[in-house]
Amino acid sequence: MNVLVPSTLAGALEMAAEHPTYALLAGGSDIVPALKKGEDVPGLISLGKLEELREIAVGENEARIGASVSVAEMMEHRELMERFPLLHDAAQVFGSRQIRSVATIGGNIANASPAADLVPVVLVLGGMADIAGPEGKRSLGMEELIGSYRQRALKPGEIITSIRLPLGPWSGHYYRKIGRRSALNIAVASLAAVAKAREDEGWSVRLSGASLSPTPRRMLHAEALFLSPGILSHDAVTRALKQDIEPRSGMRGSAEYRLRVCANMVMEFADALGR
Amino acid sequence: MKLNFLLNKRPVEVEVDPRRVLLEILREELGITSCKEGCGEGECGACAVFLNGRLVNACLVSAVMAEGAEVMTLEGLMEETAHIRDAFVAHDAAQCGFCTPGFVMAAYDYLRSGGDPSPSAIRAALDGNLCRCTGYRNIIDAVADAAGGKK
Repeated sequence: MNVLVPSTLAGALEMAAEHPTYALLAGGSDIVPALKKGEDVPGLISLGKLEELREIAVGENEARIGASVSVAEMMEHRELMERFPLLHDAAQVFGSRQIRSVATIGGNIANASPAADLVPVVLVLGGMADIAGPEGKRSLGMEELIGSYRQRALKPGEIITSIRLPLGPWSGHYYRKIGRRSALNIAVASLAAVAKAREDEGWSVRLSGASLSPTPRRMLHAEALFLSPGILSHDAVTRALKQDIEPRSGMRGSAEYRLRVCANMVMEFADALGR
Repeated sequence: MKLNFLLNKRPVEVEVDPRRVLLEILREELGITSCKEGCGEGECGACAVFLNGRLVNACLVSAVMAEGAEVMTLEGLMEETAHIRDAFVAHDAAQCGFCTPGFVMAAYDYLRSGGDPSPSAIRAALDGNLCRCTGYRNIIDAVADAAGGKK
């Protein structure tokens, strides 16, 4: 297996364009187990020396988080955590202490797993992945970036360089991850949500979750139920979610269980908003 | 590939296959045996070491990531962890002992960061470590005790 260690982003882009089958190595918490299981990876391009991918900048309107920033580094950035309480809550229950040391925001997204913890968080916040490549730079939202099951819409030679999160008008948030155990769990289902009170006493909310659909998406029908100020019923939420999510049965839970637990989480969020 | 890094503050150089992970290199090439392979996939924390000051599972650290890094294992932290190891002994917090170095490393990482010594916070801080024989109560008591003794 060939290993390339570029020292500049420009060098990394050249190498990625020249070797489109090579895997990018950031924190390694997904790729190393895959290598151990014998996955055929012809080569690695390590992103470890690219300092520009490790920066966090919190501006007036948005935060820019380098793709190689680890979950632990995000948690230590007080301003980032204060401005994005949803990201804070998700980071607390991401992997374990040891995994948070290495796992990166860019890697969690680029791995394109339906169970990725940070994808629904970035999605409801309206975040974008900044991408650099042979044809220049572009940005994609989570739904476009992971348009089909476990596939990223990246062209050969393209690298995710940072994640941008707009600050947004949110006054409420919710994050919960349901797993088989309380520590170090892979989501059986999770819900990430933000809310803004409306003048008519309804709420504008955005809802998304992990392990509920093959690709990232918002729960638009369930979101619409929050707009009017009436009381939400579990039945109405479940009916809406049936149009919003495509849960599958797998070794960690059945489709029925995932739908039900998702509805429970939406109701818990609604309760917290006084609905 | 030729791999150079600082192991317990001493420079080492080893010839390794880039597919290998730090845990294998430490145990098989460098005689460091405090870190153990439990699950080999980052679930159990028995292979915890510090990589550039951060607690990681050595079984998930690619050889490529270790290049130029500073690696500290329990062997290099005997003085710093003495109060934690003493507390583990005092509380019978080890049975077979396989997971113990990983727990001591995680507890050390937590306590040196000024972590809250309450049992629930200690439980959360040890979320990446598994023990399959003693059970967790004695371990948590030991860490709480070590936290108190340090004050």
